[in-house]
Amino acid sequence: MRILAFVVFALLLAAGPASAWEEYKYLDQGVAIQFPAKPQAMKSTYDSVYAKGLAAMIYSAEDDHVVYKLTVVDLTARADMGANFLNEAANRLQREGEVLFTDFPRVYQDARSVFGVSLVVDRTDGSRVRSSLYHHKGRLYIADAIVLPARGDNDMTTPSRYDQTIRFPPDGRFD
Amino acid sequence: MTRTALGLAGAAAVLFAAPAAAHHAFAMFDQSKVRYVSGTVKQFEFVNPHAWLHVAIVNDKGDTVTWSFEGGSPSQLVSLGWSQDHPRVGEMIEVGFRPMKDGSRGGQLMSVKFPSGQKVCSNRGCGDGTGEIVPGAYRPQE
Repeated sequence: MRILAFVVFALLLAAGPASAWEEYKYLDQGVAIQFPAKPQAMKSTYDSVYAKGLAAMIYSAEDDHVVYKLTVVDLTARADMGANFLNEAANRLQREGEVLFTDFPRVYQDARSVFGVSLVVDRTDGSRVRSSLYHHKGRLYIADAIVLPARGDNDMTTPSRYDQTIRFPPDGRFD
Repeated sequence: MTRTALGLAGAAAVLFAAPAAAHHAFAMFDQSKVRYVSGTVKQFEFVNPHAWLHVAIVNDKGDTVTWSFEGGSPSQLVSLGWSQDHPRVGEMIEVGFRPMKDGSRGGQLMSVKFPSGQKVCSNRGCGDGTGEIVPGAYRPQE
């Protein structure tokens, strides 16, 4: 038994200390994502050409001149328009500056897959935004990592780390 | 002792409970090539769902910049010789990686070579056709 305890303890040590990045679960919004600092939650509204004043929640944190922001828009009243809301958001983003990169990310695998779209845009104000958008179960999710001009390092990798940590509970609850 | 062991086992199970298969696609990395860079380990985050290795690298302008590489989960990597302090902060290493498609400084961590000549590879092999694929960690469609 002592050997077992030692082995388990060694495995615990191997896992290492928790990173400053920490996952925050928003069960009521059907999403979890990691932030490098504790995010602030704020009620908001979202305007679209299809509807004005849609209920939204924004979770955001700033770390070392990079703003990490998750916007969740409630589309339950217009669930049939989900793809259009997503594409409209992507269309708006691409108009904000020069599009450097487009990707179609996937969360989970096989029949559980949730697909989205990612864009990296150099904005006219000197900031660079990496934004990943998903439409899932009646909500629009927009995960933005915005490298502010004060950071002076638009090629840092951290923004891609942010949107890669997003997950949705495939069976209605998190593991 | 029994309670202690069981408690520790439970905690370990939680820590290593990350899904064996990647939770997101790796399409953002250029799977057609492996690049190599050398630098000093700045930080190694041996965390779920993916480990992150941050390396200070001197660029062609003489500036030191940080590159970041995403690896597998600790439960996958530990069986391949990785640990919380291997690689260790301050070590000079050579990193093999599949670069980010968006041009940012980083990529998919494939291998680390130490000054001693020892090399550890990712759960998806070394990237050069060698290395071990950890079962459950690789899906061809990724």
